[in-house]
Amino acid sequence: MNRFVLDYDLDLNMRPAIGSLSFGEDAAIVAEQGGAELFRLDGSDVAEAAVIAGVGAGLLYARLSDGGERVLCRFTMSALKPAGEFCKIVNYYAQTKTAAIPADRERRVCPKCGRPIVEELTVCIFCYDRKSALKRFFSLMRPFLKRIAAAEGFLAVSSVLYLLVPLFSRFLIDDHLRPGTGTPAQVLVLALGMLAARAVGELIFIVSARMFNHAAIDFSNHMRNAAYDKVQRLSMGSLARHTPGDLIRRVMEDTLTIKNFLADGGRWAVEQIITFVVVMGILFFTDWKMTLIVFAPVPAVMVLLSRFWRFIHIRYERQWRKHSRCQSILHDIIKGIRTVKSFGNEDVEIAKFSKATRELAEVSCSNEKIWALLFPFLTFFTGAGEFLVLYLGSKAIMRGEMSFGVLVQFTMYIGYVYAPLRWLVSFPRWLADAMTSMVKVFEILDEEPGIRAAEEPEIRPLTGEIRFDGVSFGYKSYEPVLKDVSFAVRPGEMVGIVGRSGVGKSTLINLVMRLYDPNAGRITINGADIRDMPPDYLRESIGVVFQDTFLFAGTIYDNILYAKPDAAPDEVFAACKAANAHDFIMQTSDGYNTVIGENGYSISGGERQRLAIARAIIKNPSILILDEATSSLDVETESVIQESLSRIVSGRTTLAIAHRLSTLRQADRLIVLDKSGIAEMGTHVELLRKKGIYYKLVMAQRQSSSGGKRAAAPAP
Amino acid sequence: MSENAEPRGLVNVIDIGWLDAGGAEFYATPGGFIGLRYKGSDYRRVTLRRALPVRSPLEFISVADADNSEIGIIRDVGELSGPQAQVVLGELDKRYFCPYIYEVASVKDKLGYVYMELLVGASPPNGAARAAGEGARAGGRGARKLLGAGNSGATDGGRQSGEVRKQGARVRKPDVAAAKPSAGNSGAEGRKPTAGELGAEGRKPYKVSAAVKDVNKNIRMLDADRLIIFDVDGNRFMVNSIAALDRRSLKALEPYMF
Repeated sequence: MNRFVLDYDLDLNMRPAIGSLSFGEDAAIVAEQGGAELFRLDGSDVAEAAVIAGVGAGLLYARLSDGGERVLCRFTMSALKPAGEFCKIVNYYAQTKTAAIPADRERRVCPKCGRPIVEELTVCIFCYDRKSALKRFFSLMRPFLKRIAAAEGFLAVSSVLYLLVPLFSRFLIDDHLRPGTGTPAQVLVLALGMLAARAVGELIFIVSARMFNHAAIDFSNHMRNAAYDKVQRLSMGSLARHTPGDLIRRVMEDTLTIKNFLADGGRWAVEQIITFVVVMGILFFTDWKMTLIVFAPVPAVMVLLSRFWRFIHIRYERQWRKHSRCQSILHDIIKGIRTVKSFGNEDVEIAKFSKATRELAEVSCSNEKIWALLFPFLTFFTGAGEFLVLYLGSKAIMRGEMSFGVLVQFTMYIGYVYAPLRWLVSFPRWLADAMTSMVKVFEILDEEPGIRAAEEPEIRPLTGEIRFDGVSFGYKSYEPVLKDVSFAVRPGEMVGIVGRSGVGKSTLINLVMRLYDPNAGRITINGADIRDMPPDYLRESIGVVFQDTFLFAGTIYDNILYAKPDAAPDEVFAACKAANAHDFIMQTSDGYNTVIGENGYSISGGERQRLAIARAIIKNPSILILDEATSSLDVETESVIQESLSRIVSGRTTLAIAHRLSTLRQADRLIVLDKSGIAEMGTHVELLRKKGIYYKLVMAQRQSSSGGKRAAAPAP
Repeated sequence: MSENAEPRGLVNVIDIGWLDAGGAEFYATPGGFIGLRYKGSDYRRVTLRRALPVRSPLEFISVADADNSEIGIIRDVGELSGPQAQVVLGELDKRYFCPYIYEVASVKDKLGYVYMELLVGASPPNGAARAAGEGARAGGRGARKLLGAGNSGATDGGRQSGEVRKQGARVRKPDVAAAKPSAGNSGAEGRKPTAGELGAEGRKPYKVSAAVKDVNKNIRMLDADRLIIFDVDGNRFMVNSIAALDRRSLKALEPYMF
């Protein structure tokens, strides 16, 4: 039998415990702890299950059919989400008497290492399959492989040519620079040969670098576009799991990390490996004993280097954090300078900032001291091999076992080898960073959009009849916002949606626009389930004005066209006249070509809303949604907006979330939401007569506005 | 109002809603909550919230009903009678859960998250009863009266009263429970230690894995000697005394303490 198991980690007295609460197809809630059954509850005795989140811990309780309440289990915050899921399943049973146990669960703890899997990822960053990530990376690179292989080939040739220089030096010194051995012409040929080798090597390197960079840029561009395309197609539910910053980082920074890895890391990897292998080969061939002696301390030096970088990295991280703290204090103070001055707290803020900068200075000083002390040591030790070579080589020359040219060649090659070794120390970290970026980008590419078009989408004219049938929804599994909401809106009707903050007014709107799908129930327009319609078609039929209007950087004209790119100028003018926006636009110097946004013309809140209204109606939508379109405006501006709204809602099905009486009075009908769903429904007059929630809201608003008028009266 | 009259103080104008300790009767419900009988009303389930959980954990406790409407504020837990205070403090302990860090086994930085393996326990590592010291300083006279009864106070602030700690004194190596996987697993993810490994009544310290994001915000010094860590799930862990941490743990935490 399938059971949904919630593992909890605290007993009812808040002591650590290993226990589980399960709900199965037999509708029994069973608690087990320490291998023994603690209690068993029949699901039909439970009216509702809910979670209460405390501070660092939470609990799951059941409201029983007899009215009592009982705590079923307690847990740390790690179990909060699964507990919410548990409640959903139990509550679904309570409503429908059907035990629906989900087939799979989202894992938030790595089964291998037990570490948390953080929100932004679906795999454990410590245990993810690096091989398959690399395989995937190479398969994505396939269209670019030929170019990269060619670039690598050129790079290999360039590296080899570069490595010929010490050989030339040796021949020059041994065969042509001793008295009586060479002629100036021969020296010139060799010198020109060295020059040519360097020059050709550099030229080939330039060609290789350009080829590499182009391939890497094209590849990262391809990945970036693929990631951005996917982001645009994800549902609001999927997008809500990521912060805007995280999405931006994945699209821009992570793809850049991959590009840099390919262009630099990948390129340098080949060059350094070739250099190292060729040089070591030559050195061993030249004098294997000296090579071994010189390179014996290298492993210890590399370990030292690695430790040093880790040590210094932590210290510089700390310095960065102190620096960051100074910046955020400064940012806060300067942004809030008016508040600082209003409260006369300049000295307090000066002291706060001084303390932060002092701490930064202390850490920076300490870091510089350590760097100045340690780095020269490291440089000395990494270069110590050269002195050994000089000593041993000189002895060998004196014994006649080695020529001077060979010693010079040896010394030059030693210098070549240390660069790859130093690079090798940082390569694993570079690779790890690139791989984690790959994982993050692949996650976006692999994510399935939560809102899908039906396989055979239904397209029918949407004249605006909207119906909610038993709709339930929650952004978080354990906090349902709408519960079993049912109502119908006739075509052309204006319905006002009212209620306190957090009861689900905006959520209702989001569901109509199919930004989210309901957890239960259905929403239909003209009798067709909106899930059967193509999302684009649905949203084209809906015009929406939000409270906080977002206008893109660009001209006024571009912003209006955003809703209907192929609109003719007269459509734009008509929309703006209907929205009472035309007059203020024409007052600007550039009219509809006025640039708005951060570096452009600043427009007021009222003007912004009027543009939003114009944008909403230019496509002549059959359904209009007003989400507190005037709540942030002053009364005078609001009346202008109301006038334009009254013109445009005529004949359109309108859902308006509003607090203002002026908006509510226009509505044909009002729906009053509270935390349990629809509390009241009726006209303004009917609801006032009922003297329920709506009546209280209206009275409160009237009181606050009349109280404002009293305050404005002159003092006695 | 005359021209020369001073404006009335805010506390004289606004009703804060102090709960009359003498008229309140808190009780434990059979379902595991606490209820309150007050001024003729019986609230079957109330929620207690600390207004100043860091600074004054035993004062200014808000009492709200099941609809989250505030009934009143307990000025000082010490004003309640002994059994009443026990009920209130017990409920506060259930709401505010913040294990103490005994050791920091490892810290790894990956992808902007800091992954920590911690050894934690319900009581401060040096074994003293919770909520001495700090609770006494924070609480009013009434709160100090409670402390001898061994009540818990701040779950995020208990310290030893008057104990002199030597510089660099090491924490007594605790009797360690086996690694405990985080909750929220489905089925048998990860190894589950037996109840015996957790020790009698689950009092032994135990290992937890925590991932911390935004270390600037989520690893914080509460004062010169206390540190609090918030993980991505919202769990909290407290270092009761930085000075008493072992050297290895201190070294692991040091980059994040500022």
